[in-house]
Amino acid sequence: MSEEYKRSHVFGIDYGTSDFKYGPIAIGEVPEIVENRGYFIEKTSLMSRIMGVSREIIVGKELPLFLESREDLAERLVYPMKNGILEKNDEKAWKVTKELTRYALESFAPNDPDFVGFYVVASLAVVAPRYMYEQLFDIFGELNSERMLVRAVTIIPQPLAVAIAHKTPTCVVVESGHGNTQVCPISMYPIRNAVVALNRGGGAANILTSEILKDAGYGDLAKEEKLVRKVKEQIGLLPRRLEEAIDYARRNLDKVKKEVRIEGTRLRIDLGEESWTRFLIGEYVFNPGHEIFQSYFKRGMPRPSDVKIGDTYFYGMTDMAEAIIQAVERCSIEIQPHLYSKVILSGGNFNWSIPRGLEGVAATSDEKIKLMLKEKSIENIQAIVAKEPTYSVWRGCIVYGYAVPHDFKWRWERMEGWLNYA
Amino acid sequence: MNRYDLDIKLACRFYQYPGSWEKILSILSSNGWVRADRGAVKDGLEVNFTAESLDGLEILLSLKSKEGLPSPKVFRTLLECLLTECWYVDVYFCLRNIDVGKVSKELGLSIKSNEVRRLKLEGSEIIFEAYPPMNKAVFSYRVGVGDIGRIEKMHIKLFGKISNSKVKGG
Repeated sequence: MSEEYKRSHVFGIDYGTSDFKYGPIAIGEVPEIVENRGYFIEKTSLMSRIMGVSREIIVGKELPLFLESREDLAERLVYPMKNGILEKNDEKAWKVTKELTRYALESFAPNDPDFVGFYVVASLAVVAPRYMYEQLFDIFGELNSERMLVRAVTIIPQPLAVAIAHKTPTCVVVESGHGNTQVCPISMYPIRNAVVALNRGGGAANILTSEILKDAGYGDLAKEEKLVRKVKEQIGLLPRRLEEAIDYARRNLDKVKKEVRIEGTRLRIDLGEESWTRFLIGEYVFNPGHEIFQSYFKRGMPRPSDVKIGDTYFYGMTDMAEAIIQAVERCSIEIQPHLYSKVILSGGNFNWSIPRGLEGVAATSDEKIKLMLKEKSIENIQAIVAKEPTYSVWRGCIVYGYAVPHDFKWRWERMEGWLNYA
Repeated sequence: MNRYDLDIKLACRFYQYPGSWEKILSILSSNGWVRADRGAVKDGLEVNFTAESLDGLEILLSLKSKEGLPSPKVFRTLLECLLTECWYVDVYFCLRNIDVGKVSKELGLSIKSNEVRRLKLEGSEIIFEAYPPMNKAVFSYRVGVGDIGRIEKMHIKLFGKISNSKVKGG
């Protein structure tokens, strides 16, 4: 098989806890995205037989069409990953992962005699244990039993994919998705024993947004997670300094008031006098330990907790700057200044912009993290937000697959190269 | 004309010796392109470095145009410039949110599932990859120094046909 074939058939898959992103090199700059979940159909039910549904699991864009009653959801709707990790013996979770992988590859596999499988670059959380690599390799092999979908596979950690996409060999990648955050120093390879993981991501900000909506009189809407996420994306603001931002917002209500219209409905959301709470949403992502959030915790909002999954601790309340410092200080002193000089923020949770008129009050993620680190006496910080941070892992997969020669065999000792299936 | 949801990629193949982004940048700069971050800009076009092969023989660039689809003349000038350093350039036009059925019909094809077809247009072979369920399509072709004269005509013909197709969300 030629190098030329490989380069035009690289396929990236980013196994995010919440969103599953996939697509071949040919589709350009933006991958397809579906939720990382699967719905188990009750095959013995009369209706599924009448409707001709023969599959056991539904994944992908058509999944909502098959959902049944709310009671059934808890049992049959499976989100396979928790903080980027699949439990070794969770059969249902692995079935969903296999089905999603098949769905992704079949979506783009052409009916062409020249097609002999993709060169797949899969990306997992940096804390993913070895058994996840092994089982994922097995899945790719099994998928070839019906049709040749996969020529070769390699698996890389998500933060490394981000570093590759930015061509930055020495850096700290902070990858924050929906469910969790990974802070990973990189010096050519991820420095695994320096990784700090946080048990919070965009989902935590959704929970706070839901509370804010309840307080503003939209309790009925606050139950709909997708709607809450949309509202968060439209109204959420990241403050440079929270106290100053709140003070400004209270004195300049017209500057921070915003009406959100929900497309395709008659819904209008306006926080009115409470518009200052828009700044809480961004602050919570970076610093949930701020005392202002105590009132929400006291009223029953779940506090991001410390959890241990596998051998990894995921911290709930550690602020973003503290997590970076902890990770960097686990590395050799000589490399520490170099790491602080290149902090890459990646993942949808860092997608904060500054609306016109709020310059100096609101911040982007890189400005915020620089401020926070400076307040902790860290100097010479350079932070950047990955371009279109939601897709940077997938893009890194594509860049990696393009670069690694097709005859570079997988080596477990270095965890790199292609595992061939042909 | 419809505005396409379009990504353009250029896979530049060097002769038998490894090249680099710096080499490409130098040739672009000497032709009036202005360096910007990891890219270069000129005439409403922006070329960015995306990836390179480990052997250094191939480099992948992305191209963005303010107008969506670059004008055939400006595009030809860019390719001419790249081909002073490169043996050939593989050009990929990736169209998103497009009604693949309509596009293929305009091209005289009937495509209902993921397929790859090869077309001849103005003497160039064009590979058309269709992904109807995903509303995506990719046109690609190879340009060497000898093909440069055909580029403008071929573009006008190809994208003239596609522009007659209603593009969803375009």
